[in-house]
Amino acid sequence: MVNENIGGWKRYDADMKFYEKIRDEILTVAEQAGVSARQQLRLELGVEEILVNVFSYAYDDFGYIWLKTSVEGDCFRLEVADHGRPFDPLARDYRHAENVPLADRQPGGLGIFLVKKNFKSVVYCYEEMFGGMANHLTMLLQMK
Amino acid sequence: MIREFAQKQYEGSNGWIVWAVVGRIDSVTADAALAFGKDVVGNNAKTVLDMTELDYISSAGLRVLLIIQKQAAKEGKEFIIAGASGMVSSVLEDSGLSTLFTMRDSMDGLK
Repeated sequence: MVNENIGGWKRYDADMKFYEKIRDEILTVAEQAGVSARQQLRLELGVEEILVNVFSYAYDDFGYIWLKTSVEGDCFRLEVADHGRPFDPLARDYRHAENVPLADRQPGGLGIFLVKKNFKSVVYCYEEMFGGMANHLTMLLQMK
Repeated sequence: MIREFAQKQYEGSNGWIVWAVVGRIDSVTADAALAFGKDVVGNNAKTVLDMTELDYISSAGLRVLLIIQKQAAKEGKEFIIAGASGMVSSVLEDSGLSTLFTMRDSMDGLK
């Protein structure tokens, strides 16, 4: 079993203007690690849903986001940490019930659901990291 | 692998106006897609969203579709989706939203 830390933790400003750059960096690493084209689309979905959530809601003002990539067996591991307000995205299902009519549907809540559906595992904890209490999300994606 | 975002509108067959989107509908492109789609639906009785060249959609993109669908319903317009495949099709299905839209497998008879 290969466990390889291929990225190390990297810190970025938690700002939407850096989203595409961060996304492309992660996808490049994933491709080089052997993540299939089909799975790269699922990885991008996870990257987008989690990062945009942090950029939009974690901080009132300025803040950082930390990202780390690695390979764990046949999985690609993406970890995301921030020092924003405590938020467990896995705590509840934010989707609507299936019988909610179109007129009453609001678009929120689907992002995390889609991440959980597409990744092998998603784990959240709130712990001390990088000098402060951090939301720490770990996502495992099958590489093929 | 994922095509560059682009969108266009043209006259299809049988009175359908085609709104074709290429590449991604995501947090970066959603505002542009929403503005374009609202304009197309607002100005036409029958609109088909051609997804045959759409490679990727996220929850931001689903939000766009939901808003457009609500607008069409409110205005008494027809709005259908055609040609979704791969990851886009999976996301529509997984989200449960595919049951809210009229979906066609291809653009046959529409363009």
